[in-house]
Amino acid sequence: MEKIIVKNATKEIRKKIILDNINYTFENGKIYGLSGRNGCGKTMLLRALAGLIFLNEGDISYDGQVIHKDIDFPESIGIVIENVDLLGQFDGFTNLKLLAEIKNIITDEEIIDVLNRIGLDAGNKKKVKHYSLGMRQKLAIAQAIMENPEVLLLDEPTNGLDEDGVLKIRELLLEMKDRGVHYYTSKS
Amino acid sequence: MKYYNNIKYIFFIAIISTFVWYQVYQPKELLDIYIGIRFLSRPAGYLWFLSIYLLYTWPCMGIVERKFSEGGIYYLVRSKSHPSILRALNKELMLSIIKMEVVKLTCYCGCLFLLRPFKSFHIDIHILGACIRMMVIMYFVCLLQIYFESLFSSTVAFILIFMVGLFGIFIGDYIYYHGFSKKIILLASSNLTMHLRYLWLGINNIIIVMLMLLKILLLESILYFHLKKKDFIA
Repeated sequence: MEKIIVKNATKEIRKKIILDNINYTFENGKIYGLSGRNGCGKTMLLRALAGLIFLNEGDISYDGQVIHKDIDFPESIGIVIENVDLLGQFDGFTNLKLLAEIKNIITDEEIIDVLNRIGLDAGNKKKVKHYSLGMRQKLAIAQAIMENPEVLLLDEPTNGLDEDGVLKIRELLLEMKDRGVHYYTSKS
Repeated sequence: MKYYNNIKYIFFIAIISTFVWYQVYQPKELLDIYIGIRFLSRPAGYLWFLSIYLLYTWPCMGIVERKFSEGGIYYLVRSKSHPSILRALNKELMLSIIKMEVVKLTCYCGCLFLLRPFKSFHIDIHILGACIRMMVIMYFVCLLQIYFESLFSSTVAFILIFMVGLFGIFIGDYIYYHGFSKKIILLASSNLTMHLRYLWLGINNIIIVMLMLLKILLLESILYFHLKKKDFIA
């Protein structure tokens, strides 16, 4: 993955302009942070980058492939969207396994490894609906990074994490960057 | 295989439903079953099944949309295209659909079983009314299931809806047929041999499986066009 180009991205919801003619090029191997006041469109931009919304105008391309024209979603992407939990009736490992079965590119051992590295007990059978906010956030990050995606979009990734958890996530993300995962787009 | 996972579940349901049908009907061959085999052998019977499957589409889409607020987007971004959403949500979604199918079939078979004492009643005229009533009831059963699932665990919702469905259908039909008792007509037994009946029963189950497949295809197509026009999260 060489670059992500956002061209004239405009999104309007109920006659309110959320994204107003955004132009930007995200380059390979860098970490980007989005900051701004509440409701200024940070999350919406992440959703647009992930292919989860349709733009009213403009387009977003990954290495020349335009979202919703050439591809529906980026080929290799990991995302964490704020306030979106995994399936509450399953434990953490089952949730990740269900997700991993779609692409089928990682093993159970790798899932367990990610869970351990992020600070969650892979053997914990507690259902996700009984998880604390911090545990849910860690699990969300685990699902985003477990398949070593080329692009990582994290929306408020440190929400609910204690100081130790924040440091652990930071270390993990930097380590992934060094291993060659190309993009991180994060905000906090 | 494109629909491998779905087919796996569908055949499971087909086997279970066949088993239930046989259990219900086999022991008392003489009663057999105008309300069962012949029910399905008539256009109204198929109309009922087809309508049920068409009507399932809406609640199923509701499930899909609900799942998007429960981590469905994590499934979505791993799928390659919009039409593969169902496959991406396969396990969770199909489980919900199948639970509804099981509930429906169990309720239906249970209803027929309980109605056996009132085996002879006028079908020709009233069968369509019975079909529509059962269809409407089951549709609300589906909606109730979704509602219960939002309040309780899946298992509790399943048990609740099973009880509601079975009770509701039984009471409804009991009242209906007693209310129309004067119009009861004793029906002659079928001319088919038992073997042919079971063969016919098997064919009916295959048709049910085909209808289930049709439903999934239909559901996926509708979902595709629906999502093409709509943002996943806005």
